[in-house]
Amino acid sequence: MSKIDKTPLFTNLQTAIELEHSTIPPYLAAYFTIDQDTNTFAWDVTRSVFMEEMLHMTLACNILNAVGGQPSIDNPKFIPEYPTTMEFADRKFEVGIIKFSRPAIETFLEIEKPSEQRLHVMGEHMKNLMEPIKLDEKTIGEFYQVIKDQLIQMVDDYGEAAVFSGKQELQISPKEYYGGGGEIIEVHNLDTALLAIDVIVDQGEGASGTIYDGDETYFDQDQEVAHFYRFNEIYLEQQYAKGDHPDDPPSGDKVTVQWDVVVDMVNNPKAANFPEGSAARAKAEEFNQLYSHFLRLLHRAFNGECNLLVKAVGMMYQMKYVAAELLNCPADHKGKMAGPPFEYVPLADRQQYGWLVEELVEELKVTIP
Amino acid sequence: MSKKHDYDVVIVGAGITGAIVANELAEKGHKVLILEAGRQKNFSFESYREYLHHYYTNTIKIPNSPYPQNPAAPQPLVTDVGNIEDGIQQFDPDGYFKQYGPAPFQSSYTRANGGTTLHWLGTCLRMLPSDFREKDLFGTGKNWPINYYDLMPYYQMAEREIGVSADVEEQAFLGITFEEGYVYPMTKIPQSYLDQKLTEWTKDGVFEYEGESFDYDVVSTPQGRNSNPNPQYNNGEGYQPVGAVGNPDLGTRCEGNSACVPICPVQAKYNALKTLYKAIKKGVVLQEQSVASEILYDDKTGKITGIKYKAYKDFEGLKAGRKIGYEEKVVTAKRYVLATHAVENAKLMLASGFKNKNIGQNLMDHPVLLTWGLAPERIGAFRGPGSTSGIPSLRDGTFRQDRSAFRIEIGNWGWNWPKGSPVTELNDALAAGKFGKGLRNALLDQVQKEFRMGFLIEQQATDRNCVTIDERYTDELGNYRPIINYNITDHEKEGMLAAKEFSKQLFETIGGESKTAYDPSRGGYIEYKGESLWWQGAGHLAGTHIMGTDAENSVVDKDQRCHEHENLFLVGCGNMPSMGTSNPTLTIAALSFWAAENIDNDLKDLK
Repeated sequence: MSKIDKTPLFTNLQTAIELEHSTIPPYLAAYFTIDQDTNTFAWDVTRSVFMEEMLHMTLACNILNAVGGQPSIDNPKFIPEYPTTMEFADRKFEVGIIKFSRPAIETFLEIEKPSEQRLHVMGEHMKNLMEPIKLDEKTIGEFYQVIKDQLIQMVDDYGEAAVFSGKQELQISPKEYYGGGGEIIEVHNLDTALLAIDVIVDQGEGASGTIYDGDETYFDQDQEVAHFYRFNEIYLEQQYAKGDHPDDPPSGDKVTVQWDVVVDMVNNPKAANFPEGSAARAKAEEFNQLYSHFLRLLHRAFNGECNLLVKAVGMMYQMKYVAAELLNCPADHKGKMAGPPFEYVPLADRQQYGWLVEELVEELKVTIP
Repeated sequence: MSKKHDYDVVIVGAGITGAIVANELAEKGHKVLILEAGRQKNFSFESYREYLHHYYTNTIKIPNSPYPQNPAAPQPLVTDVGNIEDGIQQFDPDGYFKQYGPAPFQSSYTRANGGTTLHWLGTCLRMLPSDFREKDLFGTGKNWPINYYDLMPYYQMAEREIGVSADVEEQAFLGITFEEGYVYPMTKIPQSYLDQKLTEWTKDGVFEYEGESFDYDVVSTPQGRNSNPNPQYNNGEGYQPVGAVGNPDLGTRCEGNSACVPICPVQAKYNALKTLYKAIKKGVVLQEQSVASEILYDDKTGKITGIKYKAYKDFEGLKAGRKIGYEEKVVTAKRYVLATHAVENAKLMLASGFKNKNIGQNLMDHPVLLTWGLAPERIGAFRGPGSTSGIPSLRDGTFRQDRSAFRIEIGNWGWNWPKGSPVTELNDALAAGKFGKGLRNALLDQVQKEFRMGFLIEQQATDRNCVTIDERYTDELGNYRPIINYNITDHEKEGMLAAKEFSKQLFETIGGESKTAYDPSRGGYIEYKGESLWWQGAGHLAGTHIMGTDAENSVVDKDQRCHEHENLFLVGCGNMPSMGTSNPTLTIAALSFWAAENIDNDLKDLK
């Protein structure tokens, strides 16, 4: 028997981590611009979705760690440059950092859309199962199906112990990860890995031809409508009722959405586009620094220092505050407001800030004034 | 011939005790109705948001500020207690209580689904074993007809239901023991930076008082707020934290919103809506806008024959001068439970002409002596839950013969309670002409060093502190308003003197600066043995229908059943013959499990 080569699996799981992460900044931007008191429903939905995307990203890290890989989070290519194009076999669309609006929700619907059942390609991928996946040739559903098949195949060929050779202490557990729908799953064998993937797919698209996300089945939680259908509720301003079919429009209670009550943020804000010396510029740069520091912390948390994830939560709140400040800074003279750019700052260019956690202070050898 | 009853059990009140009894009995298959005086209509998170909105927009952030006053079921407010003018304590004449003093009763409760757990802090201390035998041990106070060990299994049930976060090793003090291998459902809430610094600063110090010395042990407080589940809980089964009702993904961990009292925005802090929601899913009928007004009973047997209540109509848009409409109804059951708070339970029984002379007597609270000052360095005030630690060393000792014991609560929110910080400091700084960076620095320097201690003074049951009724004082539906007679004793004042001295010595030990100064015009101010003292209510209203061995000394027996009414059970703080220095909610939750078990046994026997 040949030696086990996990490289394609590692690549695919790293792609999964990046894919799950890439949706978070657009969701966060929309969320930050929603007026909680006016558009409470939209605010709730967006919040619950991005929290579940954080869960998906963490689940993908747990799978990668379980098979002996190393998640790479703090690297220049980790954050896409927005607007970015997402291309899958069944659809291609642009994703940007834009305010809460109909176009934003249209994009979110594209992101979460249940994959087409492409019967003719079923089984086709089995031929080159051990290759890294080209995302634009697959639907998201197929992409995760390939990863599942890869895992099953490798366990068949080499045994569970050889495939799941990662250290248990690298797994993020409920001690570090909590809140939001679903639950973190510690991955240590094929069953838990497949369950983690099912959670990722079902929370987004809905479980096997329903509008529901599977949380009830997996976690004994209350029934919740999956991401695609929740965004559809905002878009169509009506909730789904029990028993609604995924192909039909929702038939439940009406939802009030006031599309014009929103912070009028510029599309795809960039720090460099704000005038030098302006409040917007300073805050945008601060946000970018913060986000990059945050990725560093996540990287370390997903590579052995699990407890740092709890500190990362504190930084998330900090980002929320800085984003709120940004959204109060004029971006230009036309009445638009600035917003969070989510741009990567290389490690060497990162500076000291009062909110930096001790661990980062030590690593970066900076001092807090 | 047996009469057909409407329900197996009717419970008055949808707070924590009513919810627990309802949920337990529904679990056993009994048909249960809860009558609730309050108005909250549903269990969506939307309706909870209305409470949040009230809180955010209310300028006075008192415990009931999120929960609107309801003329059909009014509730007391801490602001009903006014200042002292010409040596006389003033009260708001429109307040819900009619207070005769001489001391002000400064505690409140909430009349709505979920009851006062909507605004509690979440402290979940067990009582000390000695608290159950105070009369025997110290010759003061009253004994319980049960002891700590009887209650132990029920404490565990209560800790599960509430979801208590604590580490067992730290809680086994002053005689408290736990079953072998027991752990709390969740690990302890992290102690605040202030707690950690106080631990460090007081490490070598001792408090000396009247020839005795006591350690300054800073101990984390068990809390009914979500933390990390303990994987060892329930023999390795673990525990699932319960999030917000109607939004279960929210609040599965404490987020440090620092608003526990009066309202946790994410419901990481337990409230009884969580238990009610479970109960309703099991078939319990919850009927709101229904104020119980009279317990009907058979004069010969004492047996309850029904509960009369007023189902009132919505009153929004009611023209001035028009009365709120209501319909009087009667509901019957095999067993009845009054779970509508110590004061309301007593009031209802008095209104029904119950004969037991102990009803309404023995009203207790924990008078809280507040002290405050500045730490020697910034300690990050105003972060996290209101309190994460306490100092238990003065909760027990032979000194209880001579003065009240107290628990010291360490407050994380600066001088918020005594001084209304940080708004007060802001206004002062603005008045002093500060602005910009200067304003910010001045505030930070002061506010970030602030901390306060609350000394929860044990109060003993006496017949002079009581709830009564008088037909001259009624609410809009014609139900009685409670009349309160209340005072504090020298025994308690002696405890306060010790507390004040403790504070003085602690500030000296840590090198801080005491800023405690009591305003003689504020309600709760007294002078005793030449010392000024100032105390507030803790919201721990208890003892109005205490538990004991016979009808001579008590209202209910150890099973929580009325001595004179065999099919009537009382639950809640009213049953407590003493509270010791523990916040009472955990104990009454435990007693509610006990009561539910006894009611279930009754109903089984009937079949």
